Amino acid sequence: MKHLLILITILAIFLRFFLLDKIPPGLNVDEAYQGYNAYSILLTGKDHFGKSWPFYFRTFGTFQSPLYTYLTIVPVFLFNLSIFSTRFISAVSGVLIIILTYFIIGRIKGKESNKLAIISAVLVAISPWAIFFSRNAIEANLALLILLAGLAIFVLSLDRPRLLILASAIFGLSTYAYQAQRLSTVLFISLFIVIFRKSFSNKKIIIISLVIFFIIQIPQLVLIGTEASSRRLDQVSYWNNLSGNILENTYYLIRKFAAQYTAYLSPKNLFFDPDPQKVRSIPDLSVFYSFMIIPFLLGLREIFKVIREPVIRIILLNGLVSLIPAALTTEPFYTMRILPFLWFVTIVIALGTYFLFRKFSFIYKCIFITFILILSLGLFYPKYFILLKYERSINYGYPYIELAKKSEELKGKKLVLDSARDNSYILLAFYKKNNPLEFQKLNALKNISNYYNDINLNHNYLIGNIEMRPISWKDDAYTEQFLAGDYLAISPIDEKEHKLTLIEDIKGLDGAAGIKLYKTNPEAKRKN
Amino acid sequence: MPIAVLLAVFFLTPWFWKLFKINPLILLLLIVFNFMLLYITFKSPKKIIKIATFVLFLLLIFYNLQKGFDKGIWTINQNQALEQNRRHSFYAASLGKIYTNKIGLLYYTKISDPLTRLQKNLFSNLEINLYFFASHPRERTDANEFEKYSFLLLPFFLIGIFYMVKKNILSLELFFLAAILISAFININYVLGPILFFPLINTVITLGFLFVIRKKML
Repeated sequence: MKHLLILITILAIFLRFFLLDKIPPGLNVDEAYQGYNAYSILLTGKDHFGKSWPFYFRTFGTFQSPLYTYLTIVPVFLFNLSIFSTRFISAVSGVLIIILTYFIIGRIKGKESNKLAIISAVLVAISPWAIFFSRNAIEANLALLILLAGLAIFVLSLDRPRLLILASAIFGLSTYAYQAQRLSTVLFISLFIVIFRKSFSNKKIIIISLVIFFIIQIPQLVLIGTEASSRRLDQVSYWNNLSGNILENTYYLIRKFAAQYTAYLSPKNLFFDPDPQKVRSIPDLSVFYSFMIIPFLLGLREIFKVIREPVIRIILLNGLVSLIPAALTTEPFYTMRILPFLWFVTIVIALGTYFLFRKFSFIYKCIFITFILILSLGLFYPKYFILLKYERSINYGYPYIELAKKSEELKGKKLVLDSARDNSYILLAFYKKNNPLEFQKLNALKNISNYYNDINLNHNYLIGNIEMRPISWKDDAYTEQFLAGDYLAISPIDEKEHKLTLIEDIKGLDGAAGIKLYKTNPEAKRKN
Repeated sequence: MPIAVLLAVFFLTPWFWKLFKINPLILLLLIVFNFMLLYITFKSPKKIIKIATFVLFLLLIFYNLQKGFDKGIWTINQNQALEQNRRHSFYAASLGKIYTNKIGLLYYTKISDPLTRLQKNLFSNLEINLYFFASHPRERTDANEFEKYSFLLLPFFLIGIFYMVKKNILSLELFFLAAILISAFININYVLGPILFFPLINTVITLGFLFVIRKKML
C-alpha cells in the first residue's frame, strides 16, 4: 500500500506544481497581498503599510489571517518573489493533505481500511476542488492541512487521551490560518468532548486542552472589537442589517441560515454548478466531477453502516460543523470557506467507490482505477489548463503583468493608472517587485498606530514610475505622460477628445478588454 | 396515521395549490400515485398493486415528457454557437492534433454540449433549495422559480431521506432514481416544476415526520 501512496503523491505533486507559475495566468489580489507582504516582511520586518509583524494583515478594506503570509517568507527567500513562490505553501499543503487523508482513513478499524485509505487519497489527489485550491495562494488550504493534522491527533487521542492537548493546540493554530476556523474549531472541540467524553475519564486533560486552546487565542482575543477581527464578518454576514420585529427577524434568520446551509449540501452545487465567483472556480466544472454523484449516493448509504466507527463520527462532525461559518455568511456557495466539508464529501465518495470496487477481481480493479483516472483528468485538463487559462486571465489580473513589463520599458517616464474602480496597486507592486521600503515610505498609512482599525480605502499609490489615482482630465490631458486604464476609465470618446495616442491595448488571453495604455499629447490638446 | 400526515403535507405545500390552480387533473393523478406509493412503502402489497403503481408512474412520465420535454437539448442558440466557436479556437491552439481529429471534433461539436445540457436539467432537480427555498441563494435567471414546500418541512424531509437510505426502501429509491433520470429530459422552465418528484418528496416528508413522532424506526 505504501508504494501506491508514493505513486499517488507523485501524481498529486504533478497536478499541483505543473505550470504553477503560469496557470492560473496571474494572481488574484488576495494572492498578491500574501506574496508581497511576505516579501515586505522578509526585507523590512514590516508589512507593505509599514506595520511590524502584524497579527492580521491589512489589505484593501479588509484583513487577512497571518499564518500563510508568514510561512510564505520561506519560499520567497528561497525562490525570490514570484507567482510560484507565493503559491508554494498552498501547493505543498495540497500534497500533505493527501498523506494525512491516508493516515486518518487508515485508522478506521477493520482489515480493509488501508484500501479505503488509498481510494480516499486518490480521490483527494484528483478532485477538482483539491487541485484548484492547491494551485492558488489561499490560506484556507493551509488551514485545511492544519485542521487535518489536528483531526489525526484527535483520532489518536481516543486511545491516548493526553494527545487531546496537542490536538487542541493544533486546532488553535488553525484559527491563525483562516478566519472561518475561529468559529468551527470552537464548535468542533466542544462537541468532540461531549460526544467522546467516555474516552476521557481524566477531566484534567480536558481542562488543560481547553486552557491551551484559549491561551493560543489570546492575541486574537486582544484584538476583538477591532476592525481587524470583525471586518470580514461585517462584510459578509446577513445578520447585522435586520429591520423587522423580533419574530420577523428570527424567522428570517432561521430561514436564511437553513437556505445557506442546505445550498452546500446540494448535489447540483457540488457536482455541476461551479462557485459563482470566477477566481474561485474552474469554467464549467464544479468542486467534484459530475460522475462522482454515483459513488457519492452509494457512499451516503455506506456511511450508515460504519457510523459507529469513531473516525467516521469525527470526520462527519467536522464536516457538518465546518459548514456553519459559511452558512452564516451571505455569499451563495462560497467554496473556499468549506474546504473541510469538501474533504468530508470526498471521503463519502471514497466509501461509495470502495463499495463498487470491492467485488471486483484484481484485474478489474486496475481497469476501474485507470478508467476513473483517465476520465477525471480528461475532464480536468481541458477545463483547467485550457479554458481557465484563457477565460479567467482578466480575473487573475493578467493584463497587469504586461503593464508592469511595459512600465519597466518606460522607466524614467511617468505613467498614471486610473484607480477609480479597482485595487490593483498590489498586483503592480508585486509584478514590479517594488522595493517594500520605498513602498512603505511613499504609501504609508496616516496613522500606523490605528492599523487594526483603519479601513479607509486609499485610491492613490506610487509604485516606481506608476502613479495610481483617478484620472483628472483637466490636468492629465495637458501633461506629457502616459495614461492607462480600463475601457470605462478611458473610453473611445476620451481618446478622441483628449488627443491621446494608443501605445498598447493589453487584452486578456481570450481577447477580452483589459487595459489600454496611451500617450498624452498636450500640444495638440491645447490647440484643440 | 401516514394518510393523515400525507394529507397535511398536501395542504401545507404551495406546490399542491399551484398544481390545483393550473392543472387539477394532473394533480389528481399525482395524488392517486402518491397514495399508492405510500401504501407500497408501508405495507407489503399484492403484485397487482405494485404493477398498477408502476403503470401510473409510467403514465406520469409520459405526460411529463410530452408537456415538458426540453427541445433545446440537441440545438444551440446563437450565443451558445459563439461560445462554442470561441472555445474551439482555445482547444485547437492548445491541444493541436489531439483535439483537431475527427473523434475530438465530433465529441466537441455533437456530443459535449447536449451532454452538458442533459446534466444541467438533471442536476437542476437535485437541489434541495429548489423545493424549499425557490432556489435561494442561487436563484436561476433562466428558470421559473417558485417555492414548492415550506422550509419548515425541510427537517422532516432530511430525516425522511436518511430514514429511506438507512432502511433501504428500495421501491421509493427506484422511483427516485427513475424521476432523476427522466428529469434530464425535462425543461427547467416547465411551468408545473419537476412534478415526478412531488409524490416522492411528499412520501419522504411523511416518513420523516412519522419517524420524529414515533421516535423509532417504523
